[in-house]
Amino acid sequence: MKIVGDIEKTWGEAFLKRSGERLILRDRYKSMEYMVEKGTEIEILPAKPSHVPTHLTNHMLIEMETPVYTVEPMMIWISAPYELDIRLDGGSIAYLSPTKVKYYLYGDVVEGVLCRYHQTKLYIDEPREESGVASLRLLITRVSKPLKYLLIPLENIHVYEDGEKIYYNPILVEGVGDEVVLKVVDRDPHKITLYEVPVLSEEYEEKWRYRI
Amino acid sequence: MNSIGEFIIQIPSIESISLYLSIILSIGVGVAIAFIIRGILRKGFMPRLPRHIYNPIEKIIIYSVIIVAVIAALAPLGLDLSGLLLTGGVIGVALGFASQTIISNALSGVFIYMERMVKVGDPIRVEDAEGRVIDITLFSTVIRCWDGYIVRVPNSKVFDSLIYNFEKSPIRRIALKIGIGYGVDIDLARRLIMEVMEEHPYILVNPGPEVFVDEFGDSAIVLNVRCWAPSTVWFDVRKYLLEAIKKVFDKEGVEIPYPQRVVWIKEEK
Repeated sequence: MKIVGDIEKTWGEAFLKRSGERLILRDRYKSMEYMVEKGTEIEILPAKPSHVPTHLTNHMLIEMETPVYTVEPMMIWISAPYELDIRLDGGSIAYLSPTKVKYYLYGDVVEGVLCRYHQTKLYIDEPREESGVASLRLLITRVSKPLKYLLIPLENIHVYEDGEKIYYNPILVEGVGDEVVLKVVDRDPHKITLYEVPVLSEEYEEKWRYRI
Repeated sequence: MNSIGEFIIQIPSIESISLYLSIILSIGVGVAIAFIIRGILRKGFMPRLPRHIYNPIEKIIIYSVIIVAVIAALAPLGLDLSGLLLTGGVIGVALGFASQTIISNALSGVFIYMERMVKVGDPIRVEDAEGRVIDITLFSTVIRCWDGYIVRVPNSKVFDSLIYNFEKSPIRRIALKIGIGYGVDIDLARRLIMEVMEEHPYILVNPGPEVFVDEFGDSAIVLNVRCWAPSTVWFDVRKYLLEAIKKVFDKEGVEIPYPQRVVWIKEEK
């Protein structure tokens, strides 16, 4: 999204107002004001949720309110956090979080992985009522144990804007015994089927493996 | 005699040529062994040790191997090595005594690196020094203390001491003791504290926060507040939490009592 003129807009708890030369940015954790020359283009891009309040992690843990258990392939939608990257003249000036930020430690205290935490409901159809969160479609082939959470490395997944909504690449979830393997699907979430799942790459599969 | 000089040309015998060749060959083999050892060292130790620690160690080992090879190769020439070895031994013992501390520090420095308990940038406490490690040399660990002083701790001391590394784990626990008045509703105080922790981004969901009664003190019910935060922001979170709890208690009328004593005065009949 690109802005040249005056605007006032909110995304969940994130707020942006441009009035003349004043640019006000606000979220739950900070409030900033800039003087920006009239006519300068401001670009607002969705970003991975790893910058607000400070960069602490490259992982996201999404806990599902209802655990999933299936032996047959199924597709569901969930919500996922994202941030807004406010860019001026090609450079980032701030990141805003539309939602509350919390962290979760996956694993033990010494070797565990710190993750950005989010709790989601499960949706059969694309979620529309939640604001400030992105939509993520899951293709679950089978999970032999209840799937309570997804541990997603942020480095390989893409978040993008489509009209007014924010999406992540769909994720293929394969449960094998105690282990869950995730693969990023290279396809519009609205156009995927259970029978054709083009995954982006197998190279980073190891990082996308975790125990439930 | 009209001759202006006399040149004596001594043609070496086959035995002496083969002797010299064997000496050259022995030195060559020694050098080759030294290079093989260097290769092994570079593969095995170079990635694990910083360059300024690794380089002197490599040089000492390589030159020692070459010197030993040269001495051994020259032995057939009739050099009396026993004197050389004796002298070397005496010098070695003298140097050993003189440099005991230096060697102890150097070895400790190597072990500190190999153990990977401390690295540059880590906030640590060693004996009385607490701060961030800014350098680890072969002989000492340099710490910039929280109050700005630079402290140099000999590596042997670091190696022998208890080392507290505050960021070795990704998270660290915060534990606070908060006293509330005996007339205060414990559930209300607990709920208020939990809400403060729930709102803060860095207080982890897992391991989760907890608040429980720790003891019935002389003048207050002591609540134990425990939560976990990322190690890098631990101090900021702790600082915030204490203030936020005080503010929310003030707002909701939860009393944090002063030390008090109830005095009964006996009435004379």
